[in-house]
Amino acid sequence: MSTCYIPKTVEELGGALGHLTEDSLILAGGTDLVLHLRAEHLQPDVLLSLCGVPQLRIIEITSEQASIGAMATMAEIHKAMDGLPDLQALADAAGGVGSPQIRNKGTIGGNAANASAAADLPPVLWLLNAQAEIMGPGGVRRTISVQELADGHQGNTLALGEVVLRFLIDRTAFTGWRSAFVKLGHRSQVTISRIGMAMALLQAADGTIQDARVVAGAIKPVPFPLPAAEAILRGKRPDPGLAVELGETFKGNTRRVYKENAAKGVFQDTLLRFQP
Amino acid sequence: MKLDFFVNEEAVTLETQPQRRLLDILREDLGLTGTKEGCSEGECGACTVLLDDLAVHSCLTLAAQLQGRRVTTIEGLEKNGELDILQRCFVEEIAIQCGFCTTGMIMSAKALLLQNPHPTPEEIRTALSGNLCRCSGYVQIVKAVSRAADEMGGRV
Ligand SMILES: Cc1cc2nc3c(=O)[nH]c(=O)nc-3n(C[C@H](O)[C@H](O)[C@H](O)COP(=O)(O)OP(=O)(O)OC[C@H]3O[C@@H](n4cnc5c(N)ncnc54)[C@H](O)[C@@H]3O)c2cc1C
Ligand code: FES
Ligand code: FES
Repeated sequence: MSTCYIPKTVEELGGALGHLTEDSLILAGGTDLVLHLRAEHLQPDVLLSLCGVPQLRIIEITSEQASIGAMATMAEIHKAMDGLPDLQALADAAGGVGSPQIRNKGTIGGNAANASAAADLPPVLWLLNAQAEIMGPGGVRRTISVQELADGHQGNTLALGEVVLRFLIDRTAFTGWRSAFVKLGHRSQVTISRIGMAMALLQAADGTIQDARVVAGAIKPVPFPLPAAEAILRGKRPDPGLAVELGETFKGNTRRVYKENAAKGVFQDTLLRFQP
Repeated sequence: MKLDFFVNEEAVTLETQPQRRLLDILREDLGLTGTKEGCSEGECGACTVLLDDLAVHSCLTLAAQLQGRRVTTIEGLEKNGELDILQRCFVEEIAIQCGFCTTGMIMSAKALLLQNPHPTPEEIRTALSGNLCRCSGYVQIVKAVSRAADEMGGRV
C-alpha cells in the first residue's frame, strides 16, 4: 500500500521530498505516468501528488521574464502565451499537444521531466534558452538550463527527491524576436510529432532576418540546434522558397530519409508563419 | 487515503487507494456506469468527464489528484428528470449509433459550451478531436452540438 503525500505549499513539498525513495513516484497531470504505472504494474512506496500546490501552477509574464510553474497545463500555457510574438512558439507547441483532454491535464513539468524524444515543449524551451528552477529535499533550490535537465537518453538529470518548480525565460534576450513551432504528425490533430520545428527570428523592418535560432525535435533523443539553417536564414527574408536549402541541413541528423524530405515541408510551413 | 471530493454536486467521502483511477471510482465504487472505458490510455475519449468544468480522461486521473475537486459525469447533466439540451439534441439528431462514445462526446461538448457558448463548427471539431466514434461519420455529432448551442442561446 502506498503512502500518499499531497502537499499544499512549496514548503510542505520540500518536506515531503525528503521521504522519497527509488520506489516512489511523483505525479503531475498523470497523462504519461498513469500509462507507465499500469503497463509496468508499479507499486510505489510513496506517491507524491503535486496537484495540491497552487503556486506551482502560476504563469507570470512581465516584459523582462516569463515564469511558468511546472504544474501549468498545456491549455493554460497556450492561453497565456498566444499572441506574444517572442513566446508564440510555446503557445503553438502547448496548443498542439494531444487532445483537449490531454491539454487540460498534461503539464509543462511532466512534458520536460518525462523527456520523450517526441515531446513538443522541449525544443521550444531549448529555443528560448529556458532555465529550470529545481527543488530538492528540505527545500534546497538550484537553477539549471533546460539543456542540462535532459540526460540525452529520453530521461532527466534530476536527483532522487528533486522536482522542477518552474521554468524561466529571459524575455530581454528576445526583444523584437518572433517565434513559431510547427509539428509534423501523421494527422492534423491529436498526433505524435515526427518532426517538431522551433524557430525564432529577429527581423528588420523590411523583413530581412538579422538573427535566427532553429531547434528541431523528435529526430534525436533530445532536441538539437541547426546552426547551418540559422546561417542560411541570416540576411535573407523568410521566403518559403528557402525550404529546400534549409531541409538539406537535416542531412546526417536523421537515419530516416523520409524525415529528411519531410523537413523541407516543415521548414516551408514554419517560414509561412513569419510572413508580414 | 481518505478522499473528499464532489461528484455531480454531491459531497463524496471514500477510503481508497491513491493510485485508483477516477474511472474505477465512478463505475465500481459509486455505480455511475455512464462513463465508459474504451482504450484505457487517453486515446479514445470514451471515459471523458469534467474536472472543475474541464474535460479530462477519467482513465488517466487518479484518486491522488481529486482531493477537494468537482467531478461531473453524464449522470449529472439531467436536471429534475429532464435531459440536458445536449443529450436531447444527440437523440434528436440521431448522433448516437452504438452509443459507446456518446457519453464522452457529450461531456467534451459540455466542456466546450461552458467555455464558449457560440462555437463554430471548426471549434466543435477541435473540442471533440479527442473523442473517437467508430460508428458515425461525426457529421450528426457536430450538428447535434451546434443545435444545442443554438437552442441554449448562450445559456449553459
Ligand atoms: C493520448 C495522449 C496524447 C499525447 N500527445 C502528446 C503530444 O502531442 N505531445 C507531447 O509532447 N506529449 C503528448 N503526450 C504525452 C503527455 O501528455 C505529456 O508529456 C504531458 O505534458 C505530461 O505531463 P503530465 O503532467 O501529465 O506528467 P505526468 O504523467 O504526471 O508525469 C510524467 C513524468 O514526469 C515526472 N514529473 C512530472 N512533473 C514533474 C516535476 N514538476 N518535477 C519532476 N518530475 C516531474 C513524473 O514523475 C513522471 O515521471 C500525450 C499523451 C497521451 C496519453
Ligand atoms: S478509456 Fe480513457 S481515453 Fe479511452
Ligand atoms: S456511436 Fe458507436 S462509437 Fe460512436
